[in-house]
Amino acid sequence: MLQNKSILSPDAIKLIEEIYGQAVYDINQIKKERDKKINDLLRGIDAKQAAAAIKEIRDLQ
Amino acid sequence: MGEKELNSLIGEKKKLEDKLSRVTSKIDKSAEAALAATQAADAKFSIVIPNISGYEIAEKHYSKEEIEKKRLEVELERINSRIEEARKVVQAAAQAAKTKFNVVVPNISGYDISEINSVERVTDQQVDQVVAESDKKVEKVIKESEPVDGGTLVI
Repeated sequence: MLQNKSILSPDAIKLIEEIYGQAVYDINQIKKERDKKINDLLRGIDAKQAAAAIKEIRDLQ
Repeated sequence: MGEKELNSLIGEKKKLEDKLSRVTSKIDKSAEAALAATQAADAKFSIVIPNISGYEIAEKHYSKEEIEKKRLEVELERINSRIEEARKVVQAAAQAAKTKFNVVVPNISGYDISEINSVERVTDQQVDQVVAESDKKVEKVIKESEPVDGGTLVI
């Protein structure tokens, strides 16, 4: 819990809510970027695995 | 009319004037008391008591200063609650962003998800940084904010 011992002005409270609002927005952006990166990586991994599996089958033939 | 009778009437008049003066004085005092009572009642009702469950204020037991102190305490609690609420939203967003990506790992040897783990590590650090920076900015605002009532309330 943040401690303060002064009665803050409405402007200060508004500013605090804006700061935290911006933090939520930034975090959600980071999460979106993370999910996109991971999805891209997964597609890449799947493609590599498929290529490796096809190679194994060809080698067996 | 004789002189005696006239003096008697003058005496009677004086008595009546004294009586009238006393009654008028009483009426004035009652009016003053009524006015004071009205002002006190108005002063009492001008205090905004926040609608917070469990918060009760017995005006007759408190001085004006004590009532003001209690009002400030409740106001402070309300402000802290708003700040805390905003912060909880940030924490919830941070927790959601740091929740591990739901990767279904196929049972294939050599399936390497280390790159995914690496991306998640970076994300976690970025989220921690955003949360820390926002807290720091808020602390600064609180520290630098001018108290509305011109003084610091120490509870």
